[in-house]
Amino acid sequence: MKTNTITKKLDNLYEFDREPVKKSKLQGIGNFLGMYAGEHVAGTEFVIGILFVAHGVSVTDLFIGGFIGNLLAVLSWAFITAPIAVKERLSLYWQLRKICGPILVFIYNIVNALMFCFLAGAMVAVSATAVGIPFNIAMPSLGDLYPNSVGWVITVLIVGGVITTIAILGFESLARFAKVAAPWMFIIFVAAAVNSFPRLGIEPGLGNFWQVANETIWTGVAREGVSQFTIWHVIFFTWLANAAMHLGMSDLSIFRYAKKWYYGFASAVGMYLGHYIAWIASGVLYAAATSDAPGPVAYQAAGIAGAICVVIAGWTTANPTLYRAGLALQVASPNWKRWKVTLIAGAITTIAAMFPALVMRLLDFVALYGLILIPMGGIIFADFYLFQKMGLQSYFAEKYQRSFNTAAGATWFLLLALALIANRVLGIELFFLPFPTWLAAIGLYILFSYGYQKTSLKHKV
Amino acid sequence: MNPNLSKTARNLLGIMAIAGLLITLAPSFFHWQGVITPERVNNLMLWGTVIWFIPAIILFGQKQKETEKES
Repeated sequence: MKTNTITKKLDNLYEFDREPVKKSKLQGIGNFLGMYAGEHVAGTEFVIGILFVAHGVSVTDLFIGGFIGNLLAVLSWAFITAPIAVKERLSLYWQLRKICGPILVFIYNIVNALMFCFLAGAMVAVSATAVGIPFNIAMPSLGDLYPNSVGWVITVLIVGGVITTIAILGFESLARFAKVAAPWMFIIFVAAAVNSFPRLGIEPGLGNFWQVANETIWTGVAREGVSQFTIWHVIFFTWLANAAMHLGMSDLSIFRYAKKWYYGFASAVGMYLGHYIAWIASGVLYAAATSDAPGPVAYQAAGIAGAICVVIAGWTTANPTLYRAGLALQVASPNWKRWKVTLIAGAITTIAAMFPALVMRLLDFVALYGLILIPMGGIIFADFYLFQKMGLQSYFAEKYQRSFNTAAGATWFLLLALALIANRVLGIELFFLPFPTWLAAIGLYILFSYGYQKTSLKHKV
Repeated sequence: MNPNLSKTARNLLGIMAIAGLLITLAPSFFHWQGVITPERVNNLMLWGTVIWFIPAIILFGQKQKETEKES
């Protein structure tokens, strides 16, 4: 495919937000509070709380580590992402395009699309664990990486097919439904946890809560075959679970509508409701349940309403993710209609969902997702805050009409290779890699840009 | 909020939606206190779900301009 065709298609897709957001389109803090509350009480929360228990997180690790990690996430949104967004008022796509050039943004889009497909796949699998309950389908357990039964594969195919069809036919309607469902999902999380208290022996008044929590729920001992987590795992995972959105700058597209930079603190609602209370609640449910799969766990705690909650939570998270994947993939197929691209994304998503590894190793996948995209956030940070002070040109690709910013490309690819080596050879766990990678991206991009910009300008003269 | 509804209708639907959430949440606390059985809790949670969604969809499910998020 010719470079200019790709560029033209990409630009057309994002045409509507080519210009900075106008003052009349700015939104109040209420929209951001609602959006973050809705987006972060989702299907993933059922799984993450469960996996923390399985990884032997202790009570202190979860309550203190989770609090610190979420605080760091909120501060990242408030002090790093939101200030850039309200100053430039551009979407991530246009911000990156100005810095990196259209070809590099194209590659970024495709990688992002695949990540979205896998994330949506995890959500399809979460929904399938609830849909399979009335049919007595054998559910995957913690150790399962591959499909464990024909029934599971058929259930995933049906759920994936329905979700894809709805994403094609009525994305917007379901997006609105997701917003309506969000408060109810949070209530179900809390109610199901409280409903499990008697089964765990927690007395009314919470008198023995800490004792039961220590001895029965977050015991500090990992399940067999699962790695042991410490408070550092909890802090880094909680902070960087949405690394692609804050340090990775994906939420520039959201905060460009904010009237003030401090609207970034609105993310606290999503973090502390979804990534704190809901994770704690799902841990309680898991400790009282006899299954590893989110569907049966919620069903045992809250009956049919719990199972419906798992289906809706997975479904409403998969829907926008699938839509975004389709949007990002569309650049690779210029003449295809949106429905065809969404169908392809849905097929990738459904196939991925058949592998329980995606759910049972969700923590690793979420960390990997952040790690892959986070260097671009470091590049944007350096370009915005540091370049002019260091005598470098910001928005280099736009100013000098480069289709591929070699300094940015080299920074991204080199850091991903180094992260792979650090993980595979040095054995550093994925959860600890995104932040150093982000810092390294800032340093390397500045370093490479000194050489690249000097050479490019010399050639131009 | 649905602009086609009168203020009274909006208020009534709002009260119904909040009642739905309360019916979903409260029974689990009663079960914890030993007042009602788990089966009854599950039934009430299901009723609460229905009572929340009907008014909430009418109130908040209307098409409106939103902040789109893309990659």
